[in-house]
Amino acid sequence: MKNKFEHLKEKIIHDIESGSLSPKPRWKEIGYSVLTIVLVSAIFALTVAVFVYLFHALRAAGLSSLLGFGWRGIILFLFLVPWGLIAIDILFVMLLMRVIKRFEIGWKVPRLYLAVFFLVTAFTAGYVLDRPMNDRMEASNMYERPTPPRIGAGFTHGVIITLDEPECSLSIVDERSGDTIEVWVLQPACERLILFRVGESIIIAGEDEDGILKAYGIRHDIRPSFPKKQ
Amino acid sequence: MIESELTDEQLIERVHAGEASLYGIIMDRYAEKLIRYGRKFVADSTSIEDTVQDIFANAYCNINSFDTSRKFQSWIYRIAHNAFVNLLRQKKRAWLRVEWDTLVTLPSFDTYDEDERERKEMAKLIDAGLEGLSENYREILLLHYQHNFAYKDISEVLHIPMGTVAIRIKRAREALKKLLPQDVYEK
Repeated sequence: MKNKFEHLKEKIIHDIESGSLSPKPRWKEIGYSVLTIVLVSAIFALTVAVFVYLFHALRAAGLSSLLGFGWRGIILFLFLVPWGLIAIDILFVMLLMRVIKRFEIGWKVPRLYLAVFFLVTAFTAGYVLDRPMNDRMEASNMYERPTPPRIGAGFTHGVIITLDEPECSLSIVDERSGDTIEVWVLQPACERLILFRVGESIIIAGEDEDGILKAYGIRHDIRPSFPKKQ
Repeated sequence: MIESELTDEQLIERVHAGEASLYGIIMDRYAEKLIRYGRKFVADSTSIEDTVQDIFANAYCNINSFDTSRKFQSWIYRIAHNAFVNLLRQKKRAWLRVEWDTLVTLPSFDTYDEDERERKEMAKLIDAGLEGLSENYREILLLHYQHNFAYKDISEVLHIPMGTVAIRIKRAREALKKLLPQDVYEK
């Protein structure tokens, strides 16, 4: 008995027999899968590279020190973090999710879990690779150190030239401009002043009020000092 | 063994080996099912047969990518799903849609949660309420209750996690219940 949809079948069979319809060669399928894997690897490597640069930028500018300066330091840290780089990484992960849909893992696992997995893995890889890669590049003078933020931006670097612990005050030569800045250190950061000496390089978090920097956080700057302005 | 008694996967293995004419048996088996699926999913009968013909042509072109250790039915329904979704997009000019229920989901077991009598009753009810359901709900109810796909198979057709399949079926049934008059649903 003829199938009521025989007409559908007849055209297809005719095209197969005439050669106008033929299967794609297997090597094309394999090649496409290999290319997809290469693309996925490349996108993931880029995501890691962005995190490596992000960690370097935070370290080089001394921003990570802000996390030790209480809630004000944390807020300033969040303000100064290069969110554009993080946004780029999120876009890369979204692209990765799109490309990986070709494979079973791309749709069997809920997408949010997969995205978090990629971000966390790239973040961890970036953290682990940061020092080995960037210290080597700095030693080879392949990087220029980033300029510290201007005074009033809440965060600066300098060298101590005078220090008065009981009065909670000191003065520094600003690393960026070479100017002398008076600093009044607020409590409880003032209690840490006994750890510092004249001539040491420091990072300060605070607001400029009428030419005096009111610091709520102070820490040794472990980077090599900038050459002093003549 | 008579060719018509071979499983889909065995037939495809022989098509891989060069017996292209056996593809006709595959088309005999699936033509009516795919047309029925398309008519109810797209809810528009005008271009379904042409689309089903394209589905068979597309499946034949990609036959070498089918792994015969998997289920052929899920594979060809996946091709059909993509074809019908494209047809829907052409008709409705649908923008990029985010399937929020695939972002996070709980694990699910691949089992039917109703007895056979309940499933047959649901299959009849679906026809009564199809028009009012969204495409997502319509499709998943069709696949589960009228085409008898298990959750795992639906997951492979729609490329969504199994947990999402379970949640979506549950929500589709609730949506259907709201659409149908109380006495029809309870009957």
